[in-house]
Amino acid sequence: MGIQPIDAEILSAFIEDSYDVLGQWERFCFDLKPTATSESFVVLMRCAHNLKGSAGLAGFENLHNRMHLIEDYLVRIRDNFGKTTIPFNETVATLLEVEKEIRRWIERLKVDPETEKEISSESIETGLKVLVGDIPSDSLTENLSMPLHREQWQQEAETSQSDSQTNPNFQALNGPSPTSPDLTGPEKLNPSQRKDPAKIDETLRVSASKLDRLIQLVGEISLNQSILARSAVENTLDSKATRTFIDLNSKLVQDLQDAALAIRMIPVEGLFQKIERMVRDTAVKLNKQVHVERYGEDVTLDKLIVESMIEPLVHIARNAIDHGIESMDVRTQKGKAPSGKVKLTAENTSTGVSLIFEDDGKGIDGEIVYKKAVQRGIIDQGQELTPGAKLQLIFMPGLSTAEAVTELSGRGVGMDVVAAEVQRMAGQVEVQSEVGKGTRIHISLPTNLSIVDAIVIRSVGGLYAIPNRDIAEVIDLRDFPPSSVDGDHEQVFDLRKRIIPLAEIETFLTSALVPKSARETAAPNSTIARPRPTMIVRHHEDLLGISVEAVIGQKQVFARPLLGHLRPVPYFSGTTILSDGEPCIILNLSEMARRYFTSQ
Amino acid sequence: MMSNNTNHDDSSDKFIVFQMGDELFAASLIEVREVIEHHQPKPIPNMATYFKGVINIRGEIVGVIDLRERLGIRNGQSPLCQLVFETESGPLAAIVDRVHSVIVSNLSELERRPSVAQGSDRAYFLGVGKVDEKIVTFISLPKIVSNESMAVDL
Repeated sequence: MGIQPIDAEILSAFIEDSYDVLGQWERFCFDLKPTATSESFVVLMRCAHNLKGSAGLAGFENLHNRMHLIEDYLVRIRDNFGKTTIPFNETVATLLEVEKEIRRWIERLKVDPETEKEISSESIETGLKVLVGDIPSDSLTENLSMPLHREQWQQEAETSQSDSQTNPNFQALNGPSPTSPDLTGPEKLNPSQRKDPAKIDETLRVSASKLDRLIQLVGEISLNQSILARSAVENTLDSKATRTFIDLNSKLVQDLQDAALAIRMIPVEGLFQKIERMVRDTAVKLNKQVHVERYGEDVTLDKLIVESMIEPLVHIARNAIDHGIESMDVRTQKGKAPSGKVKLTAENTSTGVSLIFEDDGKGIDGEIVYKKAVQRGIIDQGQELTPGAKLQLIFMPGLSTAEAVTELSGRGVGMDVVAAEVQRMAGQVEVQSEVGKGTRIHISLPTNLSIVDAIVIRSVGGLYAIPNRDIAEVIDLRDFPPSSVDGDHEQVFDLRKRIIPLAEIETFLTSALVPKSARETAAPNSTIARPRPTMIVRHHEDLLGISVEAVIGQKQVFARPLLGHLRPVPYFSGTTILSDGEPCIILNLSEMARRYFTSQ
Repeated sequence: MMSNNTNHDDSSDKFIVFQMGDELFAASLIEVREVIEHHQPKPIPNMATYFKGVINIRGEIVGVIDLRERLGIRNGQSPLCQLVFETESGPLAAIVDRVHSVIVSNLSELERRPSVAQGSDRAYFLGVGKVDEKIVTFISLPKIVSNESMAVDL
């Protein structure tokens, strides 16, 4: 069957919609109780129906037919639910399996809409058939042999997404008959546009109330603006009334900023749901029992951050179930509850949001991690580390080898990737564990990447912004005089009885653009003569002092994504424009500290 | 001063001619988003020497490269303008000595068209043509920096 040229907008709306529906489907499966009545299946039925409708609307005829078939099965499953001998768990597992398969279809579609024609539901039908007994096959084939018409799709679509009717792109569907496999038309979507999912513009579901708030604020601001404009004409700008309006306007602009940012904020619920799914699936595969608890699902984060955390958390979850949680027998022997527990928590903190993943498995032995790291030359033999710091070594790249898997209860694998992704989102990750009791992985993240409280500093090249979240404190080196150790190679200072190494920010910002003379004055031995403001930066349990030429001030900066050409530099996290119009780099001091401590 | 032909309305055949050192160069007008007055860029550390920094064009942050340095042209004069063009990694402004004119030319008539044997590092080189008795090198701006990291390895 042919697909008429699919508008990129329709395609992305369809995909967005499908993910939404599949999320509801998944939710339904998690919430399903053995005592459920057929009325509670209404959610599931609506999901299947909506998918069918929107597939038809988008011109995916094969998918439409598959969904039609699945819908028929679901009706039977609903009607027979609780009346058959089929175990409840199997019903849930099969329904989840179907959801997963549909998700796979959509994922493939997203990359290449052409794959729609190859979709086959054979694999899941077997499972569905078991659930319903057998549906007389002619009742299904009869439906399918009838060519579907646009009108019918439209009708179905109308019931599920009436708003799509207003989409002007809908016209594109009213082309030639659906049976003409015309894919070579000139209007065919540019292949590169089709193949690359990143090119499909990201869309976001926003509650109408958020938009209303935004529009209301814009209205108030423009009203105020006109009052101010009149004051300017009438020369009453200095009057008390006008001052009030100016104050009010600043507040409104601040509110507008908050309201605009809130649009991108989404709750972590969907993320947690995915992780729970991952945990359940893995547990079933490994024949383990795991119970998932979720807390703080309504905590919101920028959509980009939520999405970037899927992979790391899936990875953590998989490892936890695979290697952390013991089998039922072992757990019983150890006097633990036979069913393992995984706890997902989201919390608002002073600097952003914490995502915490806890399991009550066998834990990680820091000593073994440490020994492996020494063996592999990741750290020096003599290097003393606290027990906590030894555990953090699992985030080091070198430990991700198959050999480490068994000995480190598997958690060495790819944990460096987790750490890298969290750092890319300007966050930090930390692990705590007690052997035999369990593991806790704590990810702290900023709530959004756009508005950043920052300290503006000067270094030889010019001005730079440093996000406050990177800085534990700012000190004056005159109060903590540094002393040289190891000849002149390293400098340390005593911060309230803690010996902290000191680095110059210029050692991280090398450039041929910086005049040689300027660099010489910034040489290490000059620090004693000229004490500089110093930022204390934390890397897990270690602290590093990074000294700068001068602190200019405290500012709220609007962080923009880094220009692509600057992205390879690990110490840059974004750019911003200062109030004088000068571009300014936002530095990533956490990465400097990380490199400082890991390269030694 | 050059063979301007403004009647031609297919701008893919229009080229902007600019000077670097003693040489004339031409780039497709379609590639050039705008021509701006030379601004002193804000220097950025950890970048290649020909990457001169960033500038703020109407709120957009744009990287600045010295095209003369990148192409090894030694006797560049104090620059008057920058050609802003898009690359896959974001917008860049190329420092050139000065812009001469816009001409209409046909790429297929150029001499010394690049052959595959020249390798990909010269992919930006489109050929050489004659405009008003002067030799002009035709180049593609985005191709000059494609697949090349301008950051210094740390």
